[in-house]
Amino acid sequence: MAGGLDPVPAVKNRLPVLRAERGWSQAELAQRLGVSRQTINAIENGRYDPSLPLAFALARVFARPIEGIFEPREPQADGQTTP
Amino acid sequence: MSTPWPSERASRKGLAEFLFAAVTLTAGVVVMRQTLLDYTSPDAMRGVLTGFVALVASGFAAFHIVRRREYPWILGLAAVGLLFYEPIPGAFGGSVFWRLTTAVRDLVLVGAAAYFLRRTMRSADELDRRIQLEALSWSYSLVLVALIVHALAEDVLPPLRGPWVASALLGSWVVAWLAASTRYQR
Repeated sequence: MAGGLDPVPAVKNRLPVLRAERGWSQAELAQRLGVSRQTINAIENGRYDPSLPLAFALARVFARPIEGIFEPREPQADGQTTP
Repeated sequence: MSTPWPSERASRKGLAEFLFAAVTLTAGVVVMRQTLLDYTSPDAMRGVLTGFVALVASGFAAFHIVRRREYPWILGLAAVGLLFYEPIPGAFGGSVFWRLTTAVRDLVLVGAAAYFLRRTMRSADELDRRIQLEALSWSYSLVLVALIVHALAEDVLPPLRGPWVASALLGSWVVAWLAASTRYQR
């Protein structure tokens, strides 16, 4: 559930799939990016949207365009984003 | 099902060491204070030794936390230490030596907390900085509300001491930090 004080990210991501394809753990990916494992976990769980520099770093690590990793969530009628 | 722990920056093992350090710090200060207020008692030496051993044990646990760089627990310990920060003449029977000793003891603890916080903020990644900012905003807001409530009811409440406010700021920051970390890890 994402409501009230809970963070609601505006983008979906394919991070778990891309990471699994390469056989990397969250800690390993975090080390490659110079961030904490918690940050990777929060992005994968849809709790946190990365900054633009981190999104570019992810694109570089996975050798994909940013759109190949992230896509915007569809806005709902009440202005919220779809989960 | 095990509950996910919010962050490696403050581990479960660190929590156990923090609790141990906080209890031994409290016990050490209380025993030392009681003993020094009645230093003519035949049990005075035993009291001093007991208090000293408790403070050393607390320092040892704090050293372990520092070595693992789990700075939130150091801030929590500083919050506990500040509660005992009373370098006033009345608390030590007018002894300037113990007054200065108490002042230095707690200033070292708070200084170390500030140093580690600054060092860790520099190395924090973007999510960690966001979490810290959220925690700080909650901490300041809660303490401000508490101060206003105290001002409204100061006729019936005990007088407020500065170190208590500093302790509340640090303590509420640690709690808010853990809560914010948990929200991002669920």
